[in-house]
Amino acid sequence: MEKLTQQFNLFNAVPIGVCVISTNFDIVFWNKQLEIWTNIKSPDVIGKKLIEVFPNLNHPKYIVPISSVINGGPPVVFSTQLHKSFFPSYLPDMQPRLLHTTVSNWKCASKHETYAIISVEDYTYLSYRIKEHKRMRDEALKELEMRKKAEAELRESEQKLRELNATKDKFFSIIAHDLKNPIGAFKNVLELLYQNFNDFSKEEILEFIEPLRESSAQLFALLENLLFWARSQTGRIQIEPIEFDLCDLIRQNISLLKLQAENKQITIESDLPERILVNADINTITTVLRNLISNAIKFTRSGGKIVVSAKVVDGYAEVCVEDNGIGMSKETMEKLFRIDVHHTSLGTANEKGTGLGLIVCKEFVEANKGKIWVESEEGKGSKFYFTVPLAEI
Amino acid sequence: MSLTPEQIDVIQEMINIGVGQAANLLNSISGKHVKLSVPEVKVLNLEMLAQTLIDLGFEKNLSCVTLMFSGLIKGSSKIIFSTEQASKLVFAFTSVETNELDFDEIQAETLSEVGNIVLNSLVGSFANILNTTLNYSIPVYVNGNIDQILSSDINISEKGLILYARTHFQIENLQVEGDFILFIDLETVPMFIQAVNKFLEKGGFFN
Repeated sequence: MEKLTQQFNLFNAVPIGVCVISTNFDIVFWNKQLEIWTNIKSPDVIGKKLIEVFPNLNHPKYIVPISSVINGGPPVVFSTQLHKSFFPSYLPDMQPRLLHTTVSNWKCASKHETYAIISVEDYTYLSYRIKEHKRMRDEALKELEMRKKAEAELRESEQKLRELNATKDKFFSIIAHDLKNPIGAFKNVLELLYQNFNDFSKEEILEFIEPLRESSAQLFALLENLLFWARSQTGRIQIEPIEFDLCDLIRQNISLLKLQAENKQITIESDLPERILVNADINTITTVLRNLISNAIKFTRSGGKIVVSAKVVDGYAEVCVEDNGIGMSKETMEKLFRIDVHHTSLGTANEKGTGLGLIVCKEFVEANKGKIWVESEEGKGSKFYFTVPLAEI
Repeated sequence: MSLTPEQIDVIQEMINIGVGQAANLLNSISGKHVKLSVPEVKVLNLEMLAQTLIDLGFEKNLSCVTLMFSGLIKGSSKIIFSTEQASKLVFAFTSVETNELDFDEIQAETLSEVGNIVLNSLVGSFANILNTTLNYSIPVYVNGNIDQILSSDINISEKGLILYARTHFQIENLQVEGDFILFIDLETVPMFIQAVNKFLEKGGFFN
């Protein structure tokens, strides 16, 4: 036995554990590394049966493959994850050492005997390093994710800032041109009247007042929109949905704007069912209707026609304000509803506008969980649609 | 190189016996119900093998366990998994959740054990039925693309016999697919065919 053991002494100089067993599972060699890892000294195991020293190996999952190796079969591997304790071994902190075990066949040429060489590698530190790398990788991924999130937030914030800037520009542009010029004209006309009141006849004064009256109506509508919009920008518009009959609201607004249309010899018709109950904020929807009908009047020539219709589509009420006016190009349509693009057009009777009305409409429709869109063809007219959620029945 | 349908039948049966043994061993190790099947064995050349693996989507990273052998027949046996399938297989045996990104040396080590059991059983079955003893190398785990895996094996050449079979693992409710490849060196192919013929002459499996 001692002679046989000496043949394996070379294995005392390698940093892996090596155990050699004979065909009847007797331990014939136990190297220094295994002594260190298991705290079992070589003299205590030599000559003893493997399963006597390690009863945990007395199981077919070990006996069968090891027997196969001893009988000339291929080497077998016992991995650390599936075999926590082939040779039980512990670190100083009593954590189990992760040992990777390979069993291979060795034929002793001189003795014509075969043995199984059990070689054991320590995977503990490899496992620790992998865990550490994974931890570092996970941290890096987390940081990357946070950076991406921060960048997205920054982009969103930049977009908001751009919109705010566009809002501010729009606001100043309206104040600078659309309010200043007509009020300036008011001031001049009133000043002229005040200075020379007694020089004018009643008829002449009426001539001065008539355009002022028309202009003041337009200015009032503009101021109304401006205030609505300013309030919506500062979050001060309260959307308070209630159930109401949308058809009734449309009829009321047509009636209110009929006179304005008749002044341009435009007819307004409606194509409505008896009633459509919707759930929305009545004030903001009224503003939308008034703006769309006023726009239709503005861009329809004398003798034209406007039809306001409504129907139920996919759980929403769909309203359409259709005119046979001047229509618009695709490029113009793309500029509507956008705060960041300045767009105004003169009406068929040179009515002035700011482009603010449609922006307000979009904000209000969306605040009511609806959608707004336009279909138009240059020279043939336009159809403005918007939807309003139906009331729950 | 071609084999007769009878010779292929014998090889198929050798593989069936091998996978049966492998399933029993895997069952014993994991305590889980493991079923292995190899429906069809194909004889291919190296170019056809590479194309077959590429067609299976094996252009990416692969995990491969190799067992080389020598004796009456000389060559290599391999079992190859896509990293995704390898992760699934390791999870089936260890219940440690992993993904392609997490497939590391420790998981590869587990795959080596499982792959080694399958290869040992298959090659062992060949050796038993051909009534010969083979010498085996220590199993090797290789990770890489198909070119790296094939070029890292000194036993593989344009010539020689290549047997290829898709291997289906069913571990309880989990299905995993791997590919078994057996290369037999050109020099020992006549001995292999001779041994198969001898087995057939003796009446094959009905002896």
